[in-house]
Amino acid sequence: MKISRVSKTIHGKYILSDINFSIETGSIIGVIGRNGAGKTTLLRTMTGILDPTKGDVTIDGYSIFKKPQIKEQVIFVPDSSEAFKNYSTKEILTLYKNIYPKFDEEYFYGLMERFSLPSVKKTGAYSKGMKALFSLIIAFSTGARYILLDEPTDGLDVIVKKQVLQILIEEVAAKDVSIIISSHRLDELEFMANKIIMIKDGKVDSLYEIEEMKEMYKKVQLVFKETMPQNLKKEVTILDQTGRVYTVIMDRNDPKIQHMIEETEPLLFEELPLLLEDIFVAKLGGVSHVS
Amino acid sequence: MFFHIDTKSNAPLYEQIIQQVKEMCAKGLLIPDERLPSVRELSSHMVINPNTVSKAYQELERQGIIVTVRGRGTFISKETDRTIDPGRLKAIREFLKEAVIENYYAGYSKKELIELLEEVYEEMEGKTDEN
Repeated sequence: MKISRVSKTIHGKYILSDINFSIETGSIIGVIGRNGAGKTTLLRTMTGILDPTKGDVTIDGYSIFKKPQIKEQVIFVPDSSEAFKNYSTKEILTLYKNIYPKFDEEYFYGLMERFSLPSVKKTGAYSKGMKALFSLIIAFSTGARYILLDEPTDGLDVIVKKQVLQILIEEVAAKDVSIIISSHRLDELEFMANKIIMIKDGKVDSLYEIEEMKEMYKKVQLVFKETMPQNLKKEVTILDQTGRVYTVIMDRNDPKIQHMIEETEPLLFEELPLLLEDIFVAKLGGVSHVS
Repeated sequence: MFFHIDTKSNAPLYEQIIQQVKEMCAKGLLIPDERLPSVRELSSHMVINPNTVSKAYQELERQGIIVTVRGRGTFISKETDRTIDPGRLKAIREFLKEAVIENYYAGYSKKELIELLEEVYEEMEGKTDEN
């Protein structure tokens, strides 16, 4: 799946501007960004629900806007759906079977049984957790290769949440599918996603493998004899400061910064485990945003 | 299962898995011919990316610690099958060098370090006997 130069304006305002990236199958991709950064608009454009103002989304070289059949390769699961609440489980199943020719009914009932989800006359009767599970079971049964989920674990209790994440992982492990998740739960994405797309003001701020990202930056705790020298402040991103104790993110592979710190003879210069959350704060605006 | 994520560690997750398998082997918690969970099972259980588990298993297989039998699964290899890797010996040497330096600055003697090493061996082997 390839997203090429996608821009989207709504009421004359740029929501997405010049988005480019591609997705291989067999991966879990996290889309992260501040509220209102354009994550949901991006997912909706990628599935062909919204038409981009400029640019194209292609799968195997075919545009999903020009060749509608290709849409059977993608499914979008919104964060909450009220549209089908008056339909029965069976009616929704029939609907999706008609849209997705590769729909696997046996697999669908298998998952329904595994998660003890009953068939109901009105899916509005499902609890929030059941609705989320149901949407995912539908999505995984469609046979789509690209599954886009908007905040899939929002509002779920820990037990349901774990179940949801586990089927999601099993899907990727067992089939050649890709899952694109927009989420604010960075702790969940930390070990689940292999790739992270950071969106900032409608643009892709960065797109990296998580492991690669952690090799680029280093989180350290520093204690200076006095305060941090001004020239050093320009080179690092300060995550937190309490008196003379600083927690900063720095470039792991720049000997110049390492040297500058050592020259100040800090009382403490210690590496801390780097979390996705730290990179998020450093890149998308923290206590004091420098780089 | 006995795998866990150490969020306080700087080591990448796949290395943590490698380390945990090795540790369980050393302690006798995993024995030769014992089946390991599949990539799908372990990634789902730990709620982590399947590629991370694949990467760890590939490395463990390369080091001769596990073997994958097509259609049957992944198993702990027999000790005699373990390959001796000169590259790894070099890494261990480096590791020991660091330990010797640390030991010196912590104010302990050479004898005390050797005793400590013995203790660690006993600890590992002791756990084997309990099983």
